Amino acid sequence: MFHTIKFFQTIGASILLTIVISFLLGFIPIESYGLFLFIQTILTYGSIGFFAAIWNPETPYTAAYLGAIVIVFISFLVSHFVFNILVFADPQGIGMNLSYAVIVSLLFAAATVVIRKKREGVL
Amino acid sequence: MIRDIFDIYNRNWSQILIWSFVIILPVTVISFLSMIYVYTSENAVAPEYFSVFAIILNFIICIPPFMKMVIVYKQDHSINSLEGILYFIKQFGILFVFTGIFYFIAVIGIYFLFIPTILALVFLLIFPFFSEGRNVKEIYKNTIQVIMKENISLIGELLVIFCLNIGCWVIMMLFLAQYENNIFAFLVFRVLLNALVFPIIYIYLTLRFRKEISNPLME
Repeated sequence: MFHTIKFFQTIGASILLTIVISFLLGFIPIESYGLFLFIQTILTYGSIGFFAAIWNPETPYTAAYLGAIVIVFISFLVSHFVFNILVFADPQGIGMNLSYAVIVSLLFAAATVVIRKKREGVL
Repeated sequence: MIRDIFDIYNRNWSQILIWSFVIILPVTVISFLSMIYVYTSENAVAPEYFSVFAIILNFIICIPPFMKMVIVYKQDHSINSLEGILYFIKQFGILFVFTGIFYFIAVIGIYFLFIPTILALVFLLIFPFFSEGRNVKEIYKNTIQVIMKENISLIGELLVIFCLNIGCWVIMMLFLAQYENNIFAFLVFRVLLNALVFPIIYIYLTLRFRKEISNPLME
């Protein structure tokens, strides 16, 4: 069964982790812009997949997929309504964004499920 | 009621002190810095809406550990400060998502004669005190029950909270106006204000809305 409360917990933990670690990373001068974005992508969507597999053990992939979509949608809305960046004028970028987010979160969820099953001795 | 509030505050002062440093300080700092960031960005459309959202979020996010403390205290136990921090992390997501949705409704409601705005703000005031329910339907049901029962007096509650915050802020600004100051001074004063005012408001609101926990022998 899909637990909505646990799903919200997943999103909250992911946002909290992203805020805290990005705040700390801001103190380290990283020259490369791509590296910073890469770390943030792995952090946000990876933690979504990880926590979804832990807190929603019966439907890990649905929770990871929906969580990644929700986080991407929140970021689109914030950049459109608050910072006035024209993200909705670039459909290719939106497609890339969504697919990367979903791929990373599903990969982390699958890895967590495999590790848990190995630890329990099922595989 | 006031005697009860200060009684709870005195019995749990060590937890409140730790949570002021670990929860209220970082949340206030991040919300204030994000407000400044949005205001200084060149392309921002309407930074006022975002700042009000940050202020409301700052108030709502810190509620769960204090609410848990009052509930546990009424059952004659005491709460560990680490438990409160874990409870804060657990409740963060649902508070964040619901606040976002209902703040969006409140902003859209400006075009409808402010009626949805008031309803959404009243909902935002009450739902954090029932957010530990088992599912989303239960949270809605409990919140709407309280709104039906308390009805118009909730708007007075909202006014009291806004006026307390704004009044303390104005007094501090009058005090600060004579000196040269920068963002850091404002930040320190804001953290101080929040750490002073928030726990008392939270204890009062928990005792007010969670009627089933208040023992009649205490009053």
